Amino acid sequence: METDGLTTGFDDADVDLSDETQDFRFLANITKKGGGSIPKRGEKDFEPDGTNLQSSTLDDSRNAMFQALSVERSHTGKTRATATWHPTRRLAQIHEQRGVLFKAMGRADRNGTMWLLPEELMYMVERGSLECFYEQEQGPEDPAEPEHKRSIGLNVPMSVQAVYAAALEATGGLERYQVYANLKRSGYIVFRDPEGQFDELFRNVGYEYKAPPPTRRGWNLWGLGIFEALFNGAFWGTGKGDPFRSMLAPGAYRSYAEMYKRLAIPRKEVTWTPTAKTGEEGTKSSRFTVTYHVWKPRPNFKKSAPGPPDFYICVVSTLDTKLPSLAEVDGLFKDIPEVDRATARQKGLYQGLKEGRRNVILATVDYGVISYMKFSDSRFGDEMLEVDPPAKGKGKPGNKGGKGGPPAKK
Amino acid sequence: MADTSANGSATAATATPSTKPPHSAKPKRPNYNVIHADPLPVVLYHSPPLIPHNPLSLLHHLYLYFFPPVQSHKVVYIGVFSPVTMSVEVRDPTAVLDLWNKGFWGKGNLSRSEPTWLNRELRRLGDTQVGETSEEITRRRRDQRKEMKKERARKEKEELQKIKEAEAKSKEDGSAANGKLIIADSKVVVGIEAEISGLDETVTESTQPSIPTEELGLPTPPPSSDELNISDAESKTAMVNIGSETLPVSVPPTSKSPPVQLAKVVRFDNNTSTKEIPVQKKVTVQNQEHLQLMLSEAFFLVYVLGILSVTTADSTNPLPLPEIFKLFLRYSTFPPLPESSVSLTSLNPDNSFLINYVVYHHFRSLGWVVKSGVKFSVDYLLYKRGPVFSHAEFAILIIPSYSRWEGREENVGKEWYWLHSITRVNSQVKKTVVLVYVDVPTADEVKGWGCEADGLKKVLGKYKIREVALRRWIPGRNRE
Repeated sequence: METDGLTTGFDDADVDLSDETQDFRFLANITKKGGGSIPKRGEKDFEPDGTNLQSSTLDDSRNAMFQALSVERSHTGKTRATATWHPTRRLAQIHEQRGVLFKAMGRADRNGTMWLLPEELMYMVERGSLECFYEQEQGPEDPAEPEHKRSIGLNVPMSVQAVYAAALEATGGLERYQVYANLKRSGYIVFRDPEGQFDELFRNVGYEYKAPPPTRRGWNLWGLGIFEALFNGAFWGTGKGDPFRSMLAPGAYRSYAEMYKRLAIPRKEVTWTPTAKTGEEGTKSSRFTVTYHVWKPRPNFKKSAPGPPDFYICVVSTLDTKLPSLAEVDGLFKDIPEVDRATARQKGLYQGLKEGRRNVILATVDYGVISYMKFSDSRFGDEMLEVDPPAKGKGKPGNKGGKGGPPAKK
Repeated sequence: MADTSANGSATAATATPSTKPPHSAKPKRPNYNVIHADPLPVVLYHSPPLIPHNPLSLLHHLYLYFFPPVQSHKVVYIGVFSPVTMSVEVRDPTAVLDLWNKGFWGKGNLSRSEPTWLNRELRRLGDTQVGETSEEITRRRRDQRKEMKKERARKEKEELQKIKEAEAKSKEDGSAANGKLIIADSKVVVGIEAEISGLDETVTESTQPSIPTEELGLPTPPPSSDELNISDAESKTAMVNIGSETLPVSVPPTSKSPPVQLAKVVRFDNNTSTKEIPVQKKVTVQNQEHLQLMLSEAFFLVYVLGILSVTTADSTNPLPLPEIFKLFLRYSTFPPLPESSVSLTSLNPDNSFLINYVVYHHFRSLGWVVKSGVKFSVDYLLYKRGPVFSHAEFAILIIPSYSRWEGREENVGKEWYWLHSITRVNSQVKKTVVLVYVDVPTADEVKGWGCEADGLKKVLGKYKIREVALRRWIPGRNRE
């Protein structure tokens, strides 16, 4: 591959190994030896070079893949979990809780019955951890009988395809499931945003995540407007009535910071009063809402008290969305608690601006290919850079060789 | 950042720092902290030293405190608006130097950024007093990399040939040893990889010798034939200047040898034998380069700082500010808007010059050095302090927003693939793309601005700005 000067600055954090095709030979090695170090990937070959060596390497790799895929997958009776899909409630009822996966999945009702969301069900069935059954056809329901006691055991098993057909719609579309499964497979703990829950059982999340009611300042605080007005009005009043009056009148300035203060343009706070236009777009902007709350994998995770999520994910499809508008971005951020300026600045100026006061990860799904992009609410307006040169002699003693003592202030 | 050498401030104060003391192998970097100490081309007021026990000094100070002498704007530079390049040209050398050193305004029209054409030309003609320019350093680095890649490709080819030969040979030997061959070959491959990975250093080392000669300011290699005419003519005068007095130059100027000669000087020193020092040579070249200011930059200098006046090519009279404003509004697009369609009384807030300027002003006033981002498919680049200090960390993409406009679609044509292509380009150069949403006011909101004091400032304040930084997020890298 031709690389020019730019690629040398390649950001390691941006290298996504999962973008590459798996070399199954490594898998075979690991399983054979039972562990071992993670193999280092070799150079990519892009074209056949006509050697036997290359073709035999390719054959090895291919064979290793077939071998890995041909292994019969089996389940022990002990960990076999079963569930029933309830189409009316759009949830799956677990018959018996088994396995560690339920630690970060599903929710139990007051009777102790565990319920799975459609995406959780699909994920479990897809990976072979759960067998799902159709709900038993029955006559008029007896409302007195508790739900979890009905229809266990006699049902017809669902195929994986049937599970998709039944649960995909309730998941909110294929894209949402693809992102869910991708994050789960990557090891994250994923729960739906409470707002997106259709069942009351899942609404109560056990943690506060909504942003406190907005005590909105402006987006950009522009110094002290009163002083500005005072200065401009009273002191530099010579050009009154001039729409083009210079912002930095000739004068005596003792520091550049003082000058920069005058260069700022005061901006009034923006409040989002939904206009006729945004109201019309209501359905469209609702595509940009938080879909999932995501936690990093942790051993002591508790479903009942998960704590605030590490990431907020918004799933959108490239088919029906484009770059979100200002109103849509604003709507997305509104629901997320923000940190104060000092917390953001702790990581440094650059990092603070990059992470912002809050951020949402937009997962754009393009025919199954997922691309995650973090949208951060940076507030450049809150960070005035140092404009005056550092005081002379500071930080480099011995610079002024012969002269002793503190550097003279100019 | 910059080399904090003991003589740093002294050298740098001259603004054209000489880069090479004859004996050190590495050229001294100019002290950028001193050269670029001022973030704006406006002069600061320094009060005289206060003598506390002298009441007169105290009084004087009090007086100065309340009635300070006006001295911020000592000169007003002159720029010429060029309709062809849609930029403002500054030709006066002191203005160019000032504007570059104090705030990194504009770019040299014959350079990548800093106007260095003259220095490059002087160096090409053999002037040894001029330091290496950034273009030369970049070019050298690129050449090295090219050479390294060539070498790597050659080695790979060689190894491939070896494998092929070995395979052909084993075929002849018979099929019995087939299994062994592969094993043997995979060892070969490991060997190659090791060699290739080690190549990087070896190549740079092997090309190293060519660098110091340049860096030391030793003569450049003989110029190609088309260059010879000029440099010969130049060298004649040069040698008359210096040669007769101190350094006897033996080569007649008419000869076709390289224009710069090494003169051997024998010193009366037993320890040092013969020393080679380059002939001190003076070349005069007329500067063909000027500073180009983006319209946003020029308007900031004219309107906000008031230290630039703009003329047109046909007249030396500075244009009045409303005229400049109108001109820039017209030349915000290509082809420029017809004069009749741009009116200051019924200002159209959705003018791309206005929107670009609002963003430019926003970041400039926060202390960032804002440069064009056209190289990275964005609108602006943000530098902290300036391009000589660090790479740009943020790439600004302006997204006009029309939430207050009736029936206007947002983000037309801004599909996801468009955004991804930009963020990918910028992550390759380690920059963070920042979407800057600019909420454009409606025409009604800016009505009557021309009759008010600070009308333009109020108009600019009606644009709302919101920054959204973008970063690719990779699940496999955020689990900790």
